[in-house]
Amino acid sequence: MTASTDQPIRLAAVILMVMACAACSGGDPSQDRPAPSISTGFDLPPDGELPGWSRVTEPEHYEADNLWEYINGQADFFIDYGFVRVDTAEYRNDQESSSVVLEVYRMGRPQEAFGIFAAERTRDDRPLEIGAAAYLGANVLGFWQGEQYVKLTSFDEGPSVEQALIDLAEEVSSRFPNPELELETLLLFPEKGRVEASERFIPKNFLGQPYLTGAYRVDYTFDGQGLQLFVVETGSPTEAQTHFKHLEDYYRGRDPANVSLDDTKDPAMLVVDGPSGVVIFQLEHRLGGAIGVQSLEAGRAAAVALAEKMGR
Amino acid sequence: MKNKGVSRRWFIGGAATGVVSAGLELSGYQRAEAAEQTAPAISYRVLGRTGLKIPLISYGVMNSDNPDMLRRAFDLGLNHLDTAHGYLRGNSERVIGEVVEQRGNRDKVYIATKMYLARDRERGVFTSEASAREPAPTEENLFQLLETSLERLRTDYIDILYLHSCYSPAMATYEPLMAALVKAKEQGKARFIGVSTHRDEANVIRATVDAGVYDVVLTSYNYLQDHKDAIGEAIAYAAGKGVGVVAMKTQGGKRLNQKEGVEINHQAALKWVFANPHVCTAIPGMTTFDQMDSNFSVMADLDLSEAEERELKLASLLPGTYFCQSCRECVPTCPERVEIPSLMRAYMYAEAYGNTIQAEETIGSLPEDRGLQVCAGCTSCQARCRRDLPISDRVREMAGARWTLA
Repeated sequence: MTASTDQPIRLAAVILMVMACAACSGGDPSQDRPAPSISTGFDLPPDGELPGWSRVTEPEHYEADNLWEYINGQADFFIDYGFVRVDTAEYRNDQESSSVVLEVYRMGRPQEAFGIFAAERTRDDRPLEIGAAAYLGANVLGFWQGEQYVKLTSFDEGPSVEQALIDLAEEVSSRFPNPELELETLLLFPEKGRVEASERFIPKNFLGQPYLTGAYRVDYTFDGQGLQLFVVETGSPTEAQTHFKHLEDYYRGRDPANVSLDDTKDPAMLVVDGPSGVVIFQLEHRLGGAIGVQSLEAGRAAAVALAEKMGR
Repeated sequence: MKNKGVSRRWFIGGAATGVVSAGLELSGYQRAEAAEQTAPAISYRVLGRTGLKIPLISYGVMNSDNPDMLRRAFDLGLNHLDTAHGYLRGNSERVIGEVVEQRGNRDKVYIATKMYLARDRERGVFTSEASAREPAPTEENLFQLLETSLERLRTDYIDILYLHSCYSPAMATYEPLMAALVKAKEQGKARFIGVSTHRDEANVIRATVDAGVYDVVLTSYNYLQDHKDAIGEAIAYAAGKGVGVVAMKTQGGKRLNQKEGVEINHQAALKWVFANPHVCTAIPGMTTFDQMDSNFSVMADLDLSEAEERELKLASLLPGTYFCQSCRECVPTCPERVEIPSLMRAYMYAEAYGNTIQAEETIGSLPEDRGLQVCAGCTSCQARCRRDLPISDRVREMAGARWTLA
């Protein structure tokens, strides 16, 4: 294991294939979610199977029906992210005498596993290369791989506990297929100004709009000012155009004096001025843009850079 | 003022046709546009002895996806945000802290958060030791969590500090944590303290009130709960003692929407909660602007219409959750071996589809010694459903219904 500092995200081959197929058809794989028909879980390694670790509790599993019993008010959020099932058990390190709770969340799709992983990642975490991407906090390590979001939590802290978490995470990761996957949409985001490990996938209700599903968002900093760039996948250019028009109508309805459409450029830019400004464009079957914009000039420039990269 | 302009239906319960379908709901665009046409009025209630004046609709902030939702909430006049220390590893608290700091409105916003400490889930008690996921229930650990939350929220006080998810009266009255919460209040790190519960709620509420130190209780409360009447009575008891009541899980949870493929009438579900005058506010989670506007618009008209009542009734009968599955495991639990699955089916015909003729025919087809007549003469129903279907309530309702006499 090595800590990653310059590799924003390592991701998966299966997804590339899926995305490639979707690109051929102009469709977005996030639009046609196959409903998980079975709810089989991860076989948590029995006592003695993980070198140096003893399983000290019987495995438990929770599904959408009773997830709230396990994670309380967070359950609805996980369900929005396509939660299918979580399997969990506690393991004890034979040498460190530290206990680790292993949780394997199975989500409906890989991007949802990434989405929930990214939602729980914090700025203070250290990125790691385990699975497709991993974070390490004071007493917790999380990674995603395929449809799985795996979380290992220890109440103890310290270097030896960190190493124990990493060792166990790598062992668990080796039991899943597809360790090297990549979410293609994230490759569309420019590198300049990009904040490391800030990528998000938002499966529904992006920008507070029920029709915007399958959004990717990344934080940026330019000259000390922050903003976020986004890409929303839709099923077709027509659909993207329709969404664009409805967004324009929405913003004009809310704050007409501060909304303008700059159609002198290609693509046309919808600009919403305000303390948290917005710049939006449509390019083929995608919407893109900048949000949380403090300076419209910076927001436009960032949106143009995104559009250029998307157009290539 | 009545707000007759709001006519969206998140759950389409066709009372006349018996249709239960999500396919009839408005499109995302229509919903977004409809929301723009409403200008929600705000109704306030006072949160018990805290004296805090809070809109009926508060904001359960679990989601950290969109800070603009928080900004919009503030624009609408919402002043009470509910989150928890553990949500998304603190990211929910962080988003609140950032937006409140940007807006500079800390003095106008009431922030509630919750501290979750190690417990034995089976026994419903706090444990003396930490688990890997949760710190031990000690004063030191509670204060450590509190300090972290204050830092994330970028504030030096919490308005309402809850003990998160108490399963039992024993947890709500666990001395070390009660003392720690009181200390946090004395130090000004928490203005008010409380307990949150979504298990054995009625008893937990009463214990919370009787403990004499808590100001607020946050309880799950919705029209789907079999024990909602008991919770309602406990809420009244709390109000009588000056303890403020906040309602959560007012929609009954995501499970209904997603697993059963239908959505419930959010507005009706909220109105049902607010029909209890002792509930100060509810904390629905909101992820779209039109959802937020829709919830807010409830405050303009709190009366449950007959149609809305019927929709709630239908939602409580959704297949897979509240319909009888005819597993027949209940039959041996009845000493008279009444044909309960058929009675439950008759109930469904009458209540879900309004088809009393088919209900009567079903009841009439049963042998006398296995039918509703047996139940009518029984005073202590022992029948049990493994899925907690309220058999005795339904049988009693049917036995007293005019249509069964036809």
